[in-house]
Amino acid sequence: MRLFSKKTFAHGVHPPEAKEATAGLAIRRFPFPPSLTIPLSQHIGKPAVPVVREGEEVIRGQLLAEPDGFMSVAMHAPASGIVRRIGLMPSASGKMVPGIYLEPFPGSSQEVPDGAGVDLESATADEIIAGIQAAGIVGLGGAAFPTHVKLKIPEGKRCETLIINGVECEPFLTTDHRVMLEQSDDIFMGIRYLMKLTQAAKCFIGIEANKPDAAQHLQDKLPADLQAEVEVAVLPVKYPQGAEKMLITALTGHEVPSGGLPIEVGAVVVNVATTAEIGRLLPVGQGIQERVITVTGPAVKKKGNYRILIGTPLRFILDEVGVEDDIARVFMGGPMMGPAVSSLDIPVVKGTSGVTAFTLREGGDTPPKEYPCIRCAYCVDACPIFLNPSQLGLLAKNGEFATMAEEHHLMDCFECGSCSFVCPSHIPLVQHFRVAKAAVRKAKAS
Amino acid sequence: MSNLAWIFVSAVLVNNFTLSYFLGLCPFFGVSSRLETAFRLGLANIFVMVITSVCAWSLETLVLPHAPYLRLISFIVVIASTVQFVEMVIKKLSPALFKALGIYLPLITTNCGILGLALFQTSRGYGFFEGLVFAVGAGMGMTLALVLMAGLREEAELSDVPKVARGIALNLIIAGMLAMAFQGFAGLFGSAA
Amino acid sequence: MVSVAKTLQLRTSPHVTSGASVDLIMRHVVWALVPTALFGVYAFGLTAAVTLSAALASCLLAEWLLCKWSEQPSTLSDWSVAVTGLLYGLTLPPGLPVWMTMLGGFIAVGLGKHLFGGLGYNPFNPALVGRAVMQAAFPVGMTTWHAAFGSGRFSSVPSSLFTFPFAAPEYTDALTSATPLAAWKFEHNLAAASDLVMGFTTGSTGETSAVLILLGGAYLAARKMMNWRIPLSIFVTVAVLTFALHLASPEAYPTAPFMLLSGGLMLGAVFMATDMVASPMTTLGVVIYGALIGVLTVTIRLWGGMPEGVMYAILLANAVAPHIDRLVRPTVYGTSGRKA
Repeated sequence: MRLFSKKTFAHGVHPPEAKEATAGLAIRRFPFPPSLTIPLSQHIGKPAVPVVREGEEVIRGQLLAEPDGFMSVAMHAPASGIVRRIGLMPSASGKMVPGIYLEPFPGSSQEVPDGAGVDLESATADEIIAGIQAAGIVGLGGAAFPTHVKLKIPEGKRCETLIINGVECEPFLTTDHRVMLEQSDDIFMGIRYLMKLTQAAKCFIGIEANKPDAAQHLQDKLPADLQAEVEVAVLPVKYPQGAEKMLITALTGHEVPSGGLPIEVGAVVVNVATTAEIGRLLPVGQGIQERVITVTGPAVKKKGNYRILIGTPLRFILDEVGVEDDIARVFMGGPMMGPAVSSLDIPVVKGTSGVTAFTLREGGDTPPKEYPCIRCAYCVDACPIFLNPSQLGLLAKNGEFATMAEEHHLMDCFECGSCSFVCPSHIPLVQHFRVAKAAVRKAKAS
Repeated sequence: MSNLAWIFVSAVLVNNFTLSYFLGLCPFFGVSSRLETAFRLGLANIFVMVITSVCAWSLETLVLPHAPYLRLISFIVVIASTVQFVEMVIKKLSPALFKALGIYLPLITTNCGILGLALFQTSRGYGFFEGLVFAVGAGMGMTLALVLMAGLREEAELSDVPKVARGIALNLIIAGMLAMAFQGFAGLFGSAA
Repeated sequence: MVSVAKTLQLRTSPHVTSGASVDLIMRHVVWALVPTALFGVYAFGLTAAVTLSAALASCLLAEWLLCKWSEQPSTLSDWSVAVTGLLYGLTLPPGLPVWMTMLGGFIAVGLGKHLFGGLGYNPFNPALVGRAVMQAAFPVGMTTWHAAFGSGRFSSVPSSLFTFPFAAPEYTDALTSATPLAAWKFEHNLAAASDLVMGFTTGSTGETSAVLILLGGAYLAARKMMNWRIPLSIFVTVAVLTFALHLASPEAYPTAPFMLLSGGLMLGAVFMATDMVASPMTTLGVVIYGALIGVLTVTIRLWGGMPEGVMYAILLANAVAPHIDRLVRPTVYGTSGRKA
């Protein structure tokens, strides 16, 4: 185990970690809701295509929808039940999206039959990739990028370093922390598949220093066959340490080229929960049905880390855990990058790592007063990509979106929120950038 | 401080043509909205000034002793022809700049700063090299003023300027503040205005 | 089933902030200036109190009126005009007629700040704009200094203070005296370093006590409300240049401590050059900016016609700051072209 106490990326911010409430709570199973709302697209790429009909009874783990091409993944039934409807349902973005309404059988044992597993020893790389796609696995860290696509190394590129992302820099969330403590066998199994697939020379498990128990546990449980290549790397606590680019720079010293992918510097980064699912599902040929999320925040009464079915509506979750009377905002994820939800009828999807709820005490009735930019450069010192958020903000205010993209690298911003976090003028910089990026993309498309 | 060095520093900083003598304000406000055009126009200015200086000195030394009453008009004719020459050169070397400057090129390079250069040079009795140094210094001083002004104007463009002040009003005031700042160079190296 | 029946707020991420706030920063700058201001009042008596109050009042009034006339909500609550008013007042000679002080205050806030759009848009430090206009318009008034620690300073004020508006002030020689810089420049009189540090010399209300200015600056730097690299860069540049010159010719040039401690360098370097809006945004940029101010200050002080160069140096550097920002841009992550 190496302590990378000095090695980290430049800039970054230090939001309060706020993980004490749930870091020590073991994963508990969350009750099955009376109705599951399962969007057909929980990933980047084309939505899955349903293979079941309305009124059909399905068994837990059964294929509900198959991938539509390579940039798509399968969708499996999170519970045994009956397909009530295949139609439109609310989503986090506010748009209505196609999905499957599934009503679990209350009395069912909810056992999952095994399928055709992908044998570690005998499977080829392509078979492993097909297996990951068939299992419906996407980036569980939040990006929801189809994992099998990420793991298909393009011609002419080599993967030198496999990085398992257990950093979890987002405040309040402790999902990955508990997965590392309680599913270490699954993680190592997943690493075996990934190492075989990527042929990487070295594997780092990146963990922030605020999870010493997880780091120690993984170090202790490291199997003999992985000792040579796998290393547990403890990194300083800094936001956004868990961002792909920042993690690669901290561990390898390389910078991912602007507009490029990590594989261009020989790195592949996979979230630790995704790795655990690969290790758990591939040997038995099952599809992903559930995931661990942290339900937390000052407005939540029964905080904890819960194993919860994909498709569980937010309303059911908050009702079960109980909320304070002055609950004001609910985020899908944590407070730094998680969007505030406009409807509680949206479900937990594959990319949901947590649900955080704030009360009126955290942020008041109205947003803080916005002042003009005073060019204090706190944001310049915070941006991990070395952009100038102050200048970008001024340009955005004047509608100069094209200039932002062409001369100031707007498209390199991954909306981590460090700039808005430190801004003394309380300018919603990230929101300006989102609007600008959308305008630039629209202009490029037309 | 040597005479030539003093002439140079005086022309650039102490007695800046734009910010101390307030000459050549038309082009100053005309092209200082974009840094690129401002800088390139400044260079064109230097070029015109150098040629003018040489011509003025030649005229003063060789021709005008015989007809001193022709001073003003001969300078004007020389400057106008030089401008045409510069226009042709720019058109050939950088069509983009030529297009960007548009009508300003002839308007600008016939600014009173050029005439001022010629007149100052003769009234102060500068020799050939002194005149050259003076021209380069004056041109660089004007370029400096243009560049600084352009930087300030580009920033002001992103600012929330009240409607009543937008446009030439704000620019005049910015120029005034810049001129005040340059007042700090007054008396530098023992020079008097 | 207990439904969550409230209306949820919709805001954009991030939903947590560091707690930094503009009015907080401005307020702390004011607190950091208070010791210097109090010392100024102690050193110069009632005169300084009146001048400071007039400066502050005129700036506050100017901002309040301008906000009212332009039908915008009043921006007095962000305390930035209080900083401007206090700084502007601290750069003035204590005996300056009140009408001049107030005129300068209106110009500083009106022209130097609100004409550009108010907070966040001023290209020059507004207090210095006010002072520069005053210097240009009223050279006699702005260079008439009163002796510090005069015996009757708490019981009487010079008659010049309450000169009828727009009339020229009359000064009694008995009360006036030369600043250390003027004394050195025009009479080759070098003040003692200890006097300069503690503030037992004459000058404008705020420029005398170096110790208090530095303490205020250190407080702000510790709270990350001021970029300490700017004053550091200025001090180092001034010290190195002056030291070298003094070494070359001790009779012609003053010592480095004298240069650092006399005149408005301390106040200017710590509180005015550090104006966030008018200074560059990158680390290397501010170091260059500070060095420029140092070079210009030394040049103007030693070889220019004015005894004091800090004000002009800072104004000129403010004009150059946009170019510094344009030229000194940090390499965006992933664009250095270095191969893996």
